[in-house]
Amino acid sequence: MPIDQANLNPKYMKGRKLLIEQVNIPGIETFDVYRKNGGYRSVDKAIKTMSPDDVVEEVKKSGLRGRGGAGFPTGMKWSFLAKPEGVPRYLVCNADESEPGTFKDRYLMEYLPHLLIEGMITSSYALGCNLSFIYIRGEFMWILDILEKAIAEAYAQGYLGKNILGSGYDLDLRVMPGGGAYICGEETALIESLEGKRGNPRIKPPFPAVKGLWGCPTVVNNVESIAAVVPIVNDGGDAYAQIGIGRSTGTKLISASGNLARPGVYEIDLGLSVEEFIYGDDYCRGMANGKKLKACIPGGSSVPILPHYLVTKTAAGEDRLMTYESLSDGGFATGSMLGSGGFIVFDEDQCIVRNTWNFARFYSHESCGQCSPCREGTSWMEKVLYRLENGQGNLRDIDLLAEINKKIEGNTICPLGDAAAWPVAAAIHHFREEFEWHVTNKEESQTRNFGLSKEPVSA
Amino acid sequence: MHRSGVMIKVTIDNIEVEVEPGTTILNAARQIGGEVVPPAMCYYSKLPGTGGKCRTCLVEVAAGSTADPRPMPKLVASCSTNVMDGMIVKNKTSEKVHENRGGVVEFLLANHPLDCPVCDQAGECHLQD
Ligand SMILES: Cc1cc2nc3c(=O)[nH]c(=O)nc-3n(C[C@H](O)[C@H](O)[C@H](O)COP(=O)(O)O)c2cc1C
Ligand code: SF4
Ligand code: FES
Repeated sequence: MPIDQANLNPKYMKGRKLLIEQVNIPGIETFDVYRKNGGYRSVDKAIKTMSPDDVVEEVKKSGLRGRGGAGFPTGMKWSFLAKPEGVPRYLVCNADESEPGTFKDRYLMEYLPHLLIEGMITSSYALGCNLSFIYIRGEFMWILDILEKAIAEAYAQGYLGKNILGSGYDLDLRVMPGGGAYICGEETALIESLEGKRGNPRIKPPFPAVKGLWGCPTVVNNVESIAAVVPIVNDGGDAYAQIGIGRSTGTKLISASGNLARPGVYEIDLGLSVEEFIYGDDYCRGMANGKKLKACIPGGSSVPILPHYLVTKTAAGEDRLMTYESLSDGGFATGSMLGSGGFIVFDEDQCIVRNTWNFARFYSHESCGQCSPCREGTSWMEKVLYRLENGQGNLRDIDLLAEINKKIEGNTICPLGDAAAWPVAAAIHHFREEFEWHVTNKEESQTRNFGLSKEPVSA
Repeated sequence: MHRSGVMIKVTIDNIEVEVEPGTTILNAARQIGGEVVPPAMCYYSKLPGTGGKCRTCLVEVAAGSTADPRPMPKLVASCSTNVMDGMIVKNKTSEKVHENRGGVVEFLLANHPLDCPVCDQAGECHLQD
């Protein structure tokens, strides 16, 4: 989906913008303009006035949580990094963004390449790395060029290379394109791929913080997590932690897509209500063409889908907020997850069975095939869903899907198995009627859509 | 494998066994032998780096170790998980293991040619057991 630049003008969004404030300044992709607008201040500040541990401390204070999907506190992850003497440590930026419904990292790198590079320098300094990598999705070749140009500028200005700013700290930064597999976004598969092997996830433990790239301690962080280090160091961790609610601090980029009046990438304060995000004038401005909302997947294809009556309110009737906690309120039964912030909205004309099949097809295609439950289970689910969607299913198939799900979940090497199982389980849980309708009205289901699901009376 | 002298205790299906540190649950079970040995289809002791893939050897860890007796939340691959002192493992005696292993075998059979008479493994196949 093309991103409409006019739709993404941060001026039209409410709240503080820590990451994409300057995205519309002409020439911001060049070092000079970026620098004139306050760029690379965090590197100056960190290298000249702070020790590496001070930087880690600020990130801890900020409460920043990984923006790649899992939401693990970044500061804590950094402090787990093993630091044996005489062994190099690596920082790898995960720019393999390929979760269906997520396109924020691409936006950030394409328009603000220096922000990521600045974040990489500051973070590498904090972790004591002298060689860091940006592992970028292979389909993003044009962004690779943008980043390499920006990196060359940073080298020329003395922000990369030997003896940065005369401090004695050395850092080399490389961009590596991936081969184009979703699984290479999983951190251990990414490391394998960086080493030049096939991107198969490793069996954990050992975790990358102890044994990662070439057997050395490694931190893997998402693009947005690394970019967020820049405002955290500039303004201090406490200032960052003031934005947001509870353990969801700071701002988050949301990739809004689907049947919205104004889809695009938004930077929001965590804690914004879902209602305002979907319908507010400063954000998505409601549904496209005045249609009704049918369902929403708030965090990318791997998180459970929510039916219309659980999108803006939790099961307990409270307002649902854009935070890690509120979106997962209700657990699997009535909640979902913030995930990577891939916010996908469906209107009344969309078919849930078709969409579930589409995701299942994706996961079955992207399964690396190492472990049996995921390899066999995902392709089995795909086949069953194909049957259902194309009017060839029977009622037993629906229970069969649930059964396959249970056998995949928790029994695999990496979370892709779970990520494939949950969306199917959630779709059946909330939209069972629609699945059954596909079986009982085979012909009709090929010509029209089911429409909105009814709210359960007990809920 | 070198002998360090220190042995650690682990209990598998209520049978206690002493093994060297660094032993996997699977190999500890093999020291007991018989029914408590989980089926292992992708692990071969002589090849480094094998195991962990087929998931037929999943077992339940009811207690991690004496030092940290919490159970592990998920079933673990016994071929690639090392034992800890005081670990309590459930294989035959775990309902969960039964259920999930059945699922894994079902997955394996789903796309299996079933040409048993001409297969080299015939007669010594965990899938047939
Ligand atoms: C199948 C799979 C795909 C993933 N894809 C991505 C991805 O494209 N980008 C990303 O940043 N993290 C991805 N992750 C999460 C990473 O494994 C890792 O948790 C993340 O990069 C950590 O960064 P963070 O702590 O900054 O979030 C994926 C995980 C799995 C299991
Ligand atoms: S869960 Fe799937 S993707 Fe992950 S290691 Fe196993 S087969 Fe590969
Ligand atoms: S023997 Fe295959 S996973 Fe352990």
